[in-house]
Amino acid sequence: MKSPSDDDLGHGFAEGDESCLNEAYRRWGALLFTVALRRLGDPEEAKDVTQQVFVGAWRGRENYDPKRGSLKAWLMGVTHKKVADQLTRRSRHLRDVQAVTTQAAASSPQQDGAADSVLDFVLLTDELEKLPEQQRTVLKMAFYEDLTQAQIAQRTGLPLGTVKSNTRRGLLRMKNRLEVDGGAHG
Amino acid sequence: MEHTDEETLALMAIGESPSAPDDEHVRTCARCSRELQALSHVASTMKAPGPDERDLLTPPADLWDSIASELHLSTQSRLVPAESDLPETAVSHPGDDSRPKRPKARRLGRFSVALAACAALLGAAAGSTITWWITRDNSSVSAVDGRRLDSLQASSAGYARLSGNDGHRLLKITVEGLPKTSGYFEVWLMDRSHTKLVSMGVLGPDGSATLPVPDNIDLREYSVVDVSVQPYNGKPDHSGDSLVRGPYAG
Repeated sequence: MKSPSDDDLGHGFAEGDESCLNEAYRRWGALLFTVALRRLGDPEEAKDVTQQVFVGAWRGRENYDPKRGSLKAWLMGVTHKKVADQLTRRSRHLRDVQAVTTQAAASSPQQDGAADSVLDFVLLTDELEKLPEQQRTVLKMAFYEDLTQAQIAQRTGLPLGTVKSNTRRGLLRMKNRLEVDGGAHG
Repeated sequence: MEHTDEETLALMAIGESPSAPDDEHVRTCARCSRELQALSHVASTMKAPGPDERDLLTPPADLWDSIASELHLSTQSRLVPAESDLPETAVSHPGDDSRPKRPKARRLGRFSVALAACAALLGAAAGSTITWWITRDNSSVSAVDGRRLDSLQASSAGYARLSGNDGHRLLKITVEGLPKTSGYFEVWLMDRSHTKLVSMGVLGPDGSATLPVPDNIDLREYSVVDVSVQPYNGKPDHSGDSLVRGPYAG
């Protein structure tokens, strides 16, 4: 049962209503913690990252514009960034290990992409943040909220054709980033 | 057929259904299939693992406390958000001993559903508004700012005015089109999440009331006014049956 609507919650959050922060945690804390734990595999790190997400989101709430997407998607985006930062901090050793494992993976191309590659995740999260705003907005809605193109058009007020071309441009740019820097998926 | 265009591949990768010919082509064309796989890899890497509700892991119990203390949240906001119904806790009125402490309302699930349903049904047709005028330091500010306020029963329209200054604030509220009831009408201030409520008092028989607002109520937090129909049953909780409700923050 939702009370209030996610939209109201987003507006309240942006305006600095503490009860909305509390409600956002109640609604999505477990989800974000679960996402962080799956990505990081370490409960302590996942807890720290989830804390950083809520603290960072609250302090940076003026960067959240309810008109450009839901609070949930924004928090998920912040979670991805913090997770990527954490993974990057795990030392350059990661890249060495990764280079070896991706080479191994490349020799068995039957991997279905869901086999999550840490390095790809870090690179893609970084690239997503570098995309032009409209591409970033529509992709985040598709990635983090699982919205269809039609739903994104409705939510953003953009024409469906614009949503689709933004999706295409953004996704291609992300794919190219992997081909340039990831080295494993040519 | 020609190779599938980039846009179609991108949309397929992100989960849109392709047309039958495209679907067929991608399955039989090595080049398009490779391209789709590369794009799908991007999408699946980025899509948040969509944990089933049942698969969600409960965060450590002290996580919220750590967040609240790092952000120096007010005591009110430190209440640990519960997974389901929020625990009953008292809304405290420090220094205000004239009012009994009220239990915090349970999350008013039924009433939110009713709200959403009404808002959807009424749409712009209701034509009823609640107007707030907030006077602070003798400057009059209309804080409606285009936000539509809700009449939760089509026949009712409410108006509220907050006057006075910090030392002596009065909430004047008028509701037109009151339904017949064997109970009474109660006025509440609540926070946006509708989980913290403070009863202000009741409406008179003419559907209006001028009620004192305790000094220590933070109207930025308790930014929503609500009028409910209460049965005479001796229960102090919100009945879940609201006539009008509106936030004034815009």
